[in-house]
Amino acid sequence: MGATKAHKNGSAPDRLLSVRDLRLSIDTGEGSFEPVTGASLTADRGQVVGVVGESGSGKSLTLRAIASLLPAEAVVRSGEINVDGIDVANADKREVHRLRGGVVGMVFQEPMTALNPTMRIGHQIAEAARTHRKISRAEAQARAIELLGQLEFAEPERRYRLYPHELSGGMRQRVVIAIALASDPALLLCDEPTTALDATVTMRVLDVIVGLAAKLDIGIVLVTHDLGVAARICDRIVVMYAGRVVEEGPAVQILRRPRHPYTLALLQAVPTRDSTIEALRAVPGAPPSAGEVPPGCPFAPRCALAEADCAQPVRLAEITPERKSACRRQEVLAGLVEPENG
Amino acid sequence: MAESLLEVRDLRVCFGGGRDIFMHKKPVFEAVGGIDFSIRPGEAFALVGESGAGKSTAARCVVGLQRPTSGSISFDGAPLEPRRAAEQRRAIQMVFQDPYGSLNPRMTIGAAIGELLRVNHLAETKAAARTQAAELLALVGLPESALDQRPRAFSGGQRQRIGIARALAVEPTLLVADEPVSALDVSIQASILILLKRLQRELGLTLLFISHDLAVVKQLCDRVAVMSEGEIVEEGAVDEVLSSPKQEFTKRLLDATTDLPPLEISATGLAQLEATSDH
Amino acid sequence: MNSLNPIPGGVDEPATTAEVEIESRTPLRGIGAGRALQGRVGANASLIVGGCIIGALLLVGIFAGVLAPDNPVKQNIDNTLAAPGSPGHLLGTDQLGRDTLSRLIYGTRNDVFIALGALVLPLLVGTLAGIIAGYRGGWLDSLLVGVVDVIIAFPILVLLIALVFVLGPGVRTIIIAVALTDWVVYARLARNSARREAVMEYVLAAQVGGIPTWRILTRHIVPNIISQSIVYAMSDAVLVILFITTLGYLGLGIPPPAPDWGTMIAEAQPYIHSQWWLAVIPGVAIIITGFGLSLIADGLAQKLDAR
Repeated sequence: MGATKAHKNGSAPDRLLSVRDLRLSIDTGEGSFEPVTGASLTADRGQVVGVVGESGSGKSLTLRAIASLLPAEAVVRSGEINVDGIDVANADKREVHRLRGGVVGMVFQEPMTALNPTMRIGHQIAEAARTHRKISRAEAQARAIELLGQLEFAEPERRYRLYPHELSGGMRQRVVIAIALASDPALLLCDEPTTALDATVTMRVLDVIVGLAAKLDIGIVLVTHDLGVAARICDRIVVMYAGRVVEEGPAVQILRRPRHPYTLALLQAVPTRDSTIEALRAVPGAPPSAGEVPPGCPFAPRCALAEADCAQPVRLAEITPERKSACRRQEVLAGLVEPENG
Repeated sequence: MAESLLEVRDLRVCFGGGRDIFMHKKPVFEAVGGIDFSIRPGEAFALVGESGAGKSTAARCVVGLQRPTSGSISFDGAPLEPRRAAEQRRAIQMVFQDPYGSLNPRMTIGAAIGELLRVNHLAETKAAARTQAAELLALVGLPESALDQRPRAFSGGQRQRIGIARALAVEPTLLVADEPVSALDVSIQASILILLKRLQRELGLTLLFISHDLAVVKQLCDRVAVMSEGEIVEEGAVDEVLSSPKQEFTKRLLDATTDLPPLEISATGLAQLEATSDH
Repeated sequence: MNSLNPIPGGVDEPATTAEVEIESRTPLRGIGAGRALQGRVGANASLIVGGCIIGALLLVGIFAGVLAPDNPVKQNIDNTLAAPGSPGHLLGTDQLGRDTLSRLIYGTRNDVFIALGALVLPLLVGTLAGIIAGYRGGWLDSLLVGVVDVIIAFPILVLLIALVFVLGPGVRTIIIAVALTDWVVYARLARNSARREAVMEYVLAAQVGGIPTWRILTRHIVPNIISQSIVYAMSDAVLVILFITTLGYLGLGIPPPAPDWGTMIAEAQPYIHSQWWLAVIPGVAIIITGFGLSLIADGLAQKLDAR
């Protein structure tokens, strides 16, 4: 793990989030299974970290675990979650309240269900601001207008008075983000925030999100299945597959020089603006569902590099000071790298 | 043989309208506001746009599931109505978006495909139907044993393959694919796109492809029409439209398309990997 | 010439991929008796226990002649109001000396059989009407919804009792009365389900493929919605039994001396302070029957949820 960055002029430490070897289990009526078996990631101030994965990867549950918003049937089996000094997995009620109140803000996928249709949007933001802090109505209103401005709404005072149904999808999602930011959190967690939005609107919202990281000096963790989204705004990318993190590192490096066969397979399977169908490579098989993850490396059945020892569990290991990979053969991938000329 | 296989002229589709019980006029929503396009035989043509653009509505008109409010569609020179003769109906088939809603959960795959074959007089006996159904499944890469299974036994990608096999059962000339990969995991989308491309080539199909994703369209299609709010704003060859978009909307759509930095892995290296793979 | 129904289910909305509404499949619940077993043992237990209870009752009704120790209508003035456990009368006798156990056993025929039988017509006719209206939409659907709403708005028991007065008490009347009033619930249930299924892509695929409408209805729509109706029917059976026994209690049911649990309760009313078992025993029988049906309904509902 890379050394923690030095404190900036003695202010709050930079490392906001540290998840280590998180293991979650869910108890259904008919037995239990583990949707997350090994999640590790970090996020610093001013950073946008993207958690990328397909269905069954466990990315959403991991995010919820960080915010202490797991459904009742889910428990943290082992591992650590540290958010700005709070040990989330073992937090008591007071700490959880503090966590949700001012340390962490969360944005979900569907803006329409996150907003109260009968309340003006400015009011909803102001309410959120007053929930965890004792401020007057006037102060809350001012804060709401300030946030609307930060979320790039033109004429924030006027927009304050609008109802959710008077806004477009992208604007609603920006309101949801404003609500999440109302209590001044250090860490913003977003679970597929743009999946329900049209592509052009997505770009707008993403640009707003990335601006926030720098403007407000907060950390942002963004869960998405869309590599394009991650490529556009993330500083670091964490790739998850079948419940565990398989690769982690600076976004540019991961996208250009992946060091896990799954990441490579994913990059080759995604249609992009410039790719052609001849270069597209389908990944055989399908991601395993939560109860059917094979022992050892979960990607082995679909992996071009798999050998017999891949049936043994693989740990997420540091391969450079900035990168980690959970693959015994990642050296092979390193050897294939041929830097682009120009 | 007509120069274009499918020709759509001034297609308009409006919903609502009429009067309610108090004789008040009900609002009219214009989903498609007068569009023209034509598809040449053997071509892969894309209708691209965001949600609500009207592309699915237009596709349903072509397939006969939606009655146009006005305008005309002609297929192979002859006019195409929503209620159409068996021949025309068989010639245009559809692949749907939702792999979890597009198959009857209570019917085995063999029963579903067999029913189509028998109703369209393409197989007279159960045995003949089963043989043909097995061939169709083989075409999409699924084993004969799948015929005796119900949809719940299959993954999303497999169900889409089944949906494609079903659409091909009646031997259509024009295949309309309505967002066929949008509901699939990323690693599975590629296999369906590759399958569609292969089938199009091998069977000489004409393809009308509906999508919101220009990147997907780029893989598969020759020409594209960009739709916004019920109208076509730009049209042309895929490569041209993508490299030099003329309209503002097209530019925004293009900007929103998945853009990844190029992989810095040598082509020979990738080829080696494929060679070592057992799959 | 095979024709398509271009606008199925009366959907009057643009069918873009993102906007087709698919109403959530609300799982149907039985009256809730099954919940008691649910937490620990689940759907199978509910089904088995419920099935055994109703199965046993049906057997009792079928083999009443063999099982009943006595003739249910044979009066014996010398041995009236005997207590349970008296020689020859396991559950005692009533005010006319008739054997309670035998009356209970034969009563199964009137209460359980007729209740289940009376459901068949509403289930079939109502479901059929609902499916056709829901699938086709348009004026037919509006008409059905209007009729259903009107009938449902009526206080049902009043309507039923009025019918009984007009047609005279008896088995035939009960079946007609139930058929006329109960079909609406099945119609509404089927109509809503059919409307939902009619816009599902597998139905659209069948239409595009040229499957004729009658076949779509029977092979595609019906199998996917009938289970909800059957589950509801089980709960409804409880209500029909209550209706029959209520009629009996009011003196409007199957004419005496035919044994009927409701009539037995009514006739036992004057004796409730001394020979309380005369009223309680048939009451328990009603409860057990209701419980069994409820368990079946809950078990079925749970099984169906896991589709």
